[in-house]
Amino acid sequence: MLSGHADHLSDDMVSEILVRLPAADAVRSRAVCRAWRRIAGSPAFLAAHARRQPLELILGDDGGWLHTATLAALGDTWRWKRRHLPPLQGCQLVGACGGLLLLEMYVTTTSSSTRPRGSALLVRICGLYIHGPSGEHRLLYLAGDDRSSERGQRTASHRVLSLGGAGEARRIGPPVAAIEMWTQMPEAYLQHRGKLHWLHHPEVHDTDAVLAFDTVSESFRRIPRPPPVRSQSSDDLLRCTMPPYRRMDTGDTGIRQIRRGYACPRPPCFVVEAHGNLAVMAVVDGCLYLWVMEDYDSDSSWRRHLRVSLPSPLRSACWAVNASDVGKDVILLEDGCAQLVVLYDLPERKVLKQVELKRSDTRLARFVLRDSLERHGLFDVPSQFISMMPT
Amino acid sequence: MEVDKGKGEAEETRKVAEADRDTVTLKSSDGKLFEVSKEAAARLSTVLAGMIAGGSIDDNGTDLKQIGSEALENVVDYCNKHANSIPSAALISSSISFNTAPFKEPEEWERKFVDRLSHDALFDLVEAANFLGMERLLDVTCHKISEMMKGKSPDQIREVFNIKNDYTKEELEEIRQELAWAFYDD
Repeated sequence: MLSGHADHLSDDMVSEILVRLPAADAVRSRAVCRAWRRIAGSPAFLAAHARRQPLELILGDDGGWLHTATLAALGDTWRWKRRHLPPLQGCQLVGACGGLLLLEMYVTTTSSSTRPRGSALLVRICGLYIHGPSGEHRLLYLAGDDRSSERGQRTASHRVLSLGGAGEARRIGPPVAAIEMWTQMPEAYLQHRGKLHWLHHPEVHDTDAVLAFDTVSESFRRIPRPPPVRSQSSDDLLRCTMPPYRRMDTGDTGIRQIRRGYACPRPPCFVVEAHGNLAVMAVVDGCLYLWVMEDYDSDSSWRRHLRVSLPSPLRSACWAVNASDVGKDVILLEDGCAQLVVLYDLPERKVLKQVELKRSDTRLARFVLRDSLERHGLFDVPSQFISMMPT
Repeated sequence: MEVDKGKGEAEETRKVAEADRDTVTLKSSDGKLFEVSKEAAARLSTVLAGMIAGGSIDDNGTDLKQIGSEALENVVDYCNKHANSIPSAALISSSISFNTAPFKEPEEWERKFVDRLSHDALFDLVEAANFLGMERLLDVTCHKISEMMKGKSPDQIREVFNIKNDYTKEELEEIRQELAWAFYDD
């Protein structure tokens, strides 16, 4: 038979087939015929398509281009795909949520008539998330307050902005001292039980706490961190306080690591999900530690679940994220120093895959992406009407 | 069976024989009969599993009026092959730990199984798999068809699948512009 008759197929089955196509092919299929356009353009189809998309790692290069690669194919068909986005020079990737990437760009303006002199419009993105009850994309961030506190100290407040809404940011909770705003970047947060979690956040800087934000009740909780462990080599207390490493090229010595912000001798830790619970992970001297919070409602329920040696050359980790596509408790670890990416299976206690990141002009953006063709209402809101700094 | 045996006893024997049978008989829309492993049918098809559990399997051939003989032959072939193949570690673990994994690659034999089918047979098999609630077969067949579409232009897809272009030239140009990003060369 030379050709088949696709009109044998019911709409439901056409949908079943098209939903298995990569995003660009699924979009192109709308140009085949009217029926396919209706099928492949329906919101139900787009939502189903988005749910099927694999987790992808994001790589930025020096030219500002973004490349992505499917996490499940790590190792065997490790192919980076350059995305058809304009180069993001001058922008920094500061968040990802499903198929949305959040980019930050600083714009210098000369107009200072609306604000008193010296009032820096400092904004720190804390997280981009979907608000469960409304389905809206929302942004949580810290913004410097206009007024100083009674003692003359500059403060900042958390704000929530509904990206699809009227564009008015709401202030959440009491102001916090803004002193660490520049050095302590909120990052490496984890969504777990509808809450965002940070180990690194100005609010919990220099405290023994994980900060949690309930996206529905919009309240904060400080969860005590797991007990510290000692690093054998430096004898420093590992208290999970150090911001992640940044990789940097130096002329003669090749790759060197510098830390963002200020010097701190402690190895980094990460919040991940393990056995369905909140967990904190660290790699110290080639040894992986995992603490699990066995009862989310009990601050004292941290238990150490793992302390295993990792195969050489994996000595440290500068990023960890759940690789749910590969397996339930598989974690992706990046060792910036050895330029390695590793998939580690927690229950099996073994490295599934280990891949070198060869190119020195690229670095992993520490976010994962799931392609989505869904159209979000927030793109219909003219950008000039979204104000991050309410009066 | 001896003729002088009591009717009740004969009935009893027949029932036991039926329960012991390890195959079920399926009848296509055009009246052809196919035998399939009961275990595989129950494991691979939610609809057949329900019929077996509910006792609505007809020993003389369970009517499947929506499925033609060619498609049913392929369904039965797939079930029997599946019964004989040792599930790979990947397939076993997929049911336990791969919660949101989009798709598990077809096994080598599954690939061969769909590769030999004509387009029409493949389309009929998709419908049959859907009707019988055979998730894995639906996955494998839809995956095969989507593989045939990947990287192709709308023109090529229309040609391969014999689909009539019901757009006007202007509409098509409008769509191309609207979806321009998807028409770049990868």
